[in-house]
Amino acid sequence: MATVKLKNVTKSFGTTEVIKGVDIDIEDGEFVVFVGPSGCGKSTLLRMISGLEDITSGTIEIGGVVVNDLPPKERGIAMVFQTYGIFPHMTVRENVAFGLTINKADKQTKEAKVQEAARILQMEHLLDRRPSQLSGGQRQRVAIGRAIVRDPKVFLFDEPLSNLDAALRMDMRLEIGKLHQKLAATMIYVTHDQVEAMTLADKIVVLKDGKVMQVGAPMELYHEPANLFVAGFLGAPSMNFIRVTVEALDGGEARVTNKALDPIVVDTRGRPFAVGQEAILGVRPQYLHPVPDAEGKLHGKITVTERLGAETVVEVTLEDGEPLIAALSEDRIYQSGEKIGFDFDTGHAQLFPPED
Amino acid sequence: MASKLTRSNGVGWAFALPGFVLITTFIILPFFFAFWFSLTNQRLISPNPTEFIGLSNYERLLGLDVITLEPERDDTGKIVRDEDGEIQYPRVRTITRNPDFPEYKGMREWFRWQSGDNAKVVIASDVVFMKALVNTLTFVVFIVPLQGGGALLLALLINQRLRGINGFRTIYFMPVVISIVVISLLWRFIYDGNDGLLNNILAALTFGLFEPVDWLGNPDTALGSIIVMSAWQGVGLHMVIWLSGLQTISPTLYEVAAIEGASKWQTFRYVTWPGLRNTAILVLIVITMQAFALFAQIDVMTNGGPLDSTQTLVFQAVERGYGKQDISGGSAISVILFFMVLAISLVQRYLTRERS
Amino acid sequence: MPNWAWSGYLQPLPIDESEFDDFLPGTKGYWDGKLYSIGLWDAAVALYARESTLDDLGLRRPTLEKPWTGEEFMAALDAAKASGDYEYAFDPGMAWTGEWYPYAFSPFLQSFGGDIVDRSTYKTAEGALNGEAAMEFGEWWQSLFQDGYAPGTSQDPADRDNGFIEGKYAFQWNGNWAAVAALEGVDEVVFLPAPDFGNGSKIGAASWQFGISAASEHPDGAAEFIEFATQDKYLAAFSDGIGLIPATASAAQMTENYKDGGPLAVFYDLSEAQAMVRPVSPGYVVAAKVFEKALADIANGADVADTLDAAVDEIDADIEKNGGYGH
Repeated sequence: MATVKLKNVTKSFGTTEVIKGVDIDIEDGEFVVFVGPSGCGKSTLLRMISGLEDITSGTIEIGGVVVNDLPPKERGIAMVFQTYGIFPHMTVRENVAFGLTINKADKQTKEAKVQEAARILQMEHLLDRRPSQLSGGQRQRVAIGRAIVRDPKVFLFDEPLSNLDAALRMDMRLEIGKLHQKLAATMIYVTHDQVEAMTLADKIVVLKDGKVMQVGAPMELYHEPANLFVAGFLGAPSMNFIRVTVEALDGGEARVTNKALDPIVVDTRGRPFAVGQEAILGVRPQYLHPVPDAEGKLHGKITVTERLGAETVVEVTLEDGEPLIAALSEDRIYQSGEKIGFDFDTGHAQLFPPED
Repeated sequence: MASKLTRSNGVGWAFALPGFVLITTFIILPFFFAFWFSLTNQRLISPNPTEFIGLSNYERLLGLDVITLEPERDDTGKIVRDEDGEIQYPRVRTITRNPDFPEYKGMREWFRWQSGDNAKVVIASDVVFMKALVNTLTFVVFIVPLQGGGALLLALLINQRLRGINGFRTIYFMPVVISIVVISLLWRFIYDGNDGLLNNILAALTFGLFEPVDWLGNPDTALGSIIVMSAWQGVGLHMVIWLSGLQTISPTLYEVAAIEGASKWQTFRYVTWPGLRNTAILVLIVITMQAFALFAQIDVMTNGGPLDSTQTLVFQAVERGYGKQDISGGSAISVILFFMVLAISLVQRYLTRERS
Repeated sequence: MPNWAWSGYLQPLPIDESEFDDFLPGTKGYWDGKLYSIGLWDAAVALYARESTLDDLGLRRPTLEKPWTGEEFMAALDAAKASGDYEYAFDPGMAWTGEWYPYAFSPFLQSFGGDIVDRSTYKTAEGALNGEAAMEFGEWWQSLFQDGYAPGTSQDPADRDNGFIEGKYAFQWNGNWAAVAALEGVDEVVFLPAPDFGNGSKIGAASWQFGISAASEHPDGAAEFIEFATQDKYLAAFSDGIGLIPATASAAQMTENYKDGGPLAVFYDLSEAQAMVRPVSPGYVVAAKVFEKALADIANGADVADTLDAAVDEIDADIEKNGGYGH
């Protein structure tokens, strides 16, 4: 078990800088998820921690030791890959014991450790099979087993569930969550799937273009996104961004409006705005309540309705022609072209400077 | 299934037809012809009717016997020895050309060994065929590891991203594209006994200490020289096959090995080699088949000499069938060769079968 | 040719044999008493040497009437070897595998008194190729290579072509087709007759010839062409063009090289006086191959008696397998 500290870490491939000065502190036993769109550098960052990629500048510490120049083996890490990385010519047992074989462990140690890992992952019955006889989820379990056997200070997961189908992904997600509780080890988990990030993480690191956008607990990020990117990235359907004009500023509050929006007062959360300037108002689809047109703060017409049973997602064209998505927590029927108004709690609305 | 193949697949059959016709005309029919001819006294051209002579072509090729020679004794009954103390024996021709031993007629010494004072002599009715058989097997036994291993080594060296690596690939592949006849001629110059390139290089490296060797003119070095030259010639082709095999190995597996701290050798042993399994079978079988067909190098470089040290089965088949117009004898060799290659392929298939 | 004639691929020439009375014997292809083919030229082999070599080594100049004996020849090689001026004393041409062996070397065997097959019956090689004369020939042949007089089977073909001209070899056994190049390269080249090993000097005869396919629908036309092409003026033109020996004496007089006093006239004389055709039998195809291999093996140090025995066995087995080849 160990802490992991990244200090001003950068990485360049030739002249292209892909990681641009990242600082992250990971506590002992914490489950940290790196999330971001593809190409944001999250996998590269993980591989730098593992030692598969070298570090251009900055330092990485694991358990208080700078590991910049240590080979992967000596960093006390184990890694699970998206494509499993299990050996097709070995049985499950041999795969799980691979690291021990490499390090010439004796037979009893090997068998004991393999059994232990198999018990934790409930795959004792699979030990003598070959990978070709396993499902995707079972294969990933083998890969995790191999990681467990290493007894690492830090587990690294590189999009481990991306190759699985949706149902299996959920099972495995729960499985990994349980594993973390059982082992109480430090885990770093890379994914582009925000659901995995939200459900698994103690702490989420949102990355974009090689920079950290925000670090924090899942709900913190969900409710108080630090910027437009994080706001838009987390949550499904995505947060609505409404272009508004600042009419007045009063201490920590701003009055904003546009053609489709009646003037409302929003907390600026310390962000700088100027009167007459454009701003962007973020409202999550779940916070919008449908009301008769005259009563709402937002005004528009229904364009599409998607009925999901417990939820209804409607797409609305606002009066200024911009689109808006609302997620209603009940089954509702609307006619296309029907006029509609929305009300919402302004305390849940976020105001961002434009193009931030 | 059959009806589907024949009825609704007209275009497919049309495409396959030229291949079928060519294979039937040039491979399947000649094979049956060879089989039939080997049981007759067919000559390439002859006014005599073709006669069925059963297995006598095979008997002539495969006839073997062991005779015992007693030492020559002088009048006192003492064993006659030459000045080196070697026991003197009567000549084998006193038996093989003796009308008292018609069963040994036409047979010749193949090799002998000492047994007490007596000499045991293995006589064969076709010593040249026997030597060709042994040479061919020797060639196969050496060329398979040499060419296959050399090619693998080159493939490993070349399977990396380096500036100008394509230049190396091209260079290594070049001998494959050049006609084997041209290459054989060039190597004849290289191996020349007086002022050949090889002798000159060895002399230069040893500051003139090296005694020039007549590589192709010496029965002890001729076959070895041809093996080395053939390995060099074919190595490029198999390098490409290995290379394609190497590129099918998932990079993740190498990363797994790196994380587990595998040494270079362990990585090869546990990742690369098992990943090349199917490639290895292909390379092994292809080289074996090619090796059994050894002909052009012999024809151009040594004509089977010196002293039959480079006779091979295919060379003898061609020499007899066309050179000496003895189609039946040549066919018999071809049929023997066919069964040998078939047997070896089956054994290889059995040994390399997928175990589950 | 006998192979083709025997197999029925050729028909006898529908031309009166008397038309070719003055042709060199080696240009006429007989099988079963009938003329099947006729050549526009013949080829001959001679011992190439330099005037200066003969002078420096103090050697008698051999002539057609009085060639070197075997001993004289070996003495000449010894002298050449002892002089240290040459890589090898004698180049028989081992690099020229194939028909060169029986064509160029079987006359040595014949000069010793042996032959490739017994020409009295053509049914066996026993006694001819492994008799005492043949054994003697074999030992001599082996000594050429074992004692370092001659380059062996691994001779570089380039050396074969240029070795004499470059002065690597004192003597070279070579055909008249190479004479023009030798004359250009070596002013003082002389063409000496083959040594006599006891049964007269012998050289090989017969080269490419014209015949008519058995399936020909117009043998008359083919014969017409052959008669036309065998006129002296064309024989001479061929000779001037490709340097080979014209088939008739009268044609020889019309050529640059072979007229009396011409630089290659000696080859015509050799061909006329010493030429002996190779065994006239369909079985020769095999015998030639067997002979070639036997000579290569002996040169490489194989036991002479065993090798010649094996050659005899193989030739005899082949003759037997083919019902005596119609002899």
